Amino acid sequence: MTRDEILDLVINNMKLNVDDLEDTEIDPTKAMADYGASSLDIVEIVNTTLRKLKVKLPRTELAQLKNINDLVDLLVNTAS
Amino acid sequence: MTIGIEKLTVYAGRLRLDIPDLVAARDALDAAYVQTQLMCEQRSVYPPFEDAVTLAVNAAKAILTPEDLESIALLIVGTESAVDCGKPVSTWVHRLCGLKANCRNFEVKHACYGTTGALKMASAWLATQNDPTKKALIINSDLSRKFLNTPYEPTGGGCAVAMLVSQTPEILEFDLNRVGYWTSEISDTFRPTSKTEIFNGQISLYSYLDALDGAYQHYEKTIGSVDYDAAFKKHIYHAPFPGMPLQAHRNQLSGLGLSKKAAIANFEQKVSDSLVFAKRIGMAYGGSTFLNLLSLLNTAEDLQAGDEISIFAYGSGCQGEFYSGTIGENAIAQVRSLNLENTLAARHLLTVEDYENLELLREQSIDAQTWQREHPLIDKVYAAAYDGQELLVLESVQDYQRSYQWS
Repeated sequence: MTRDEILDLVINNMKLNVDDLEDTEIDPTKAMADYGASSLDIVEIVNTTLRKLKVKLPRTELAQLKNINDLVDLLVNTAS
Repeated sequence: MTIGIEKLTVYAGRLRLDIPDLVAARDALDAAYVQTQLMCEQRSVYPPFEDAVTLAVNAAKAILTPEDLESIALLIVGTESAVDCGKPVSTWVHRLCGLKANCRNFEVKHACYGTTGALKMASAWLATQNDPTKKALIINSDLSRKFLNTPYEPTGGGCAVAMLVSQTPEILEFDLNRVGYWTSEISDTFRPTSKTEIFNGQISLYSYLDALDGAYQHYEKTIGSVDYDAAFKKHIYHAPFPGMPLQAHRNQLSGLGLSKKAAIANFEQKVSDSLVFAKRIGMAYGGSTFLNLLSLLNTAEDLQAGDEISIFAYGSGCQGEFYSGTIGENAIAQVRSLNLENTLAARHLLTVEDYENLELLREQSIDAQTWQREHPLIDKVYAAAYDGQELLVLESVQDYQRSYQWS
């Protein structure tokens, strides 16, 4: 899966889990929390994405990430 | 030799706060988030005359018979709410429950994991005993610190669970070899002082799920591959708040290819009965999985003796343990005879203002060199909910020495 496809997957999972994001343009330089995602929303978005990509990684590494791009970069490196 | 839990109960105090009242009083709290994601409905509240000692004793006294007192040769209290850094809570519990002098007692700490560790160590001790009548009393006793105006305020609570562990496991029998455990040092949730409780919420959620993965992989490595859905009739997960087991269960089901809707239906069928009490008491800390076992036995209509269940315990810091057990012959009848639902419903409902003031007063009493049970609000809740109940209460603190009496 390409980086763009992984980014689309993350954004799609955000829109499925956070209310009222359907028509919102997501800027990947921002954090999910900036779009109203709760801690539990973020866990669910990450878990759903990991399941889809069929990868596992120590989730505590995710707590250091600053924005959506950081998450996508980590997923690209882990999935490749 | 069979080993496990012979008796089990919970003491959740005499006061409660309804979470919708709290949400209505806090602009920063989102009602939908609290209801659907955290899943908090009520919480127990503790006045300054309750502490880890009173909770533990009030739980244990409810299940101990004179025969039990003679048989108990080991007492362990797990807590992260200790009233002293040297003298263990277990010493007060030993005296006030009337246990015999030939009894080991001590306190253990590992956030919300400690009491599961204590249960397993006590069970291993029982397995070495020639005398089959020997028993261990294991208690977890914890209460939240002051959470006023924090994002995690709706999750507060506390309770004590007390269990008798013996070779007559009428509640839950477990094989000490059917277990997986996993640890990793992390500062996700901790109590650096006697008044402070730090939550690094996002890290703690991730750490919990890493520990679940690690402990379950170790479980499968130990006993062989498991069909998760078919092997267990029900699942119990540690609940720092009642919404977390949903995340944990979906994580466990991830290999089955279920849709979100199917996973939630599976959760409703196999997990939600275990969370009825957690939704009404609030955070139970190291007592969580045992409180959830009580809720499951009290609520589930499709559970019977001999059914296999899974249990996942998690303590910040962190330690995860995944194990399985078998529902005992007398489990459902014994737990339902406790009338825990009625006991919870009988807790005195507080206004948000009284709850806030009690939390402030309780914080002031922590570490106090001198303290007396004298205050109009404290007198009011004592008269309304404790007087004549024959519960243990803190009477005073003089030069740091604590005096207890029966209400």
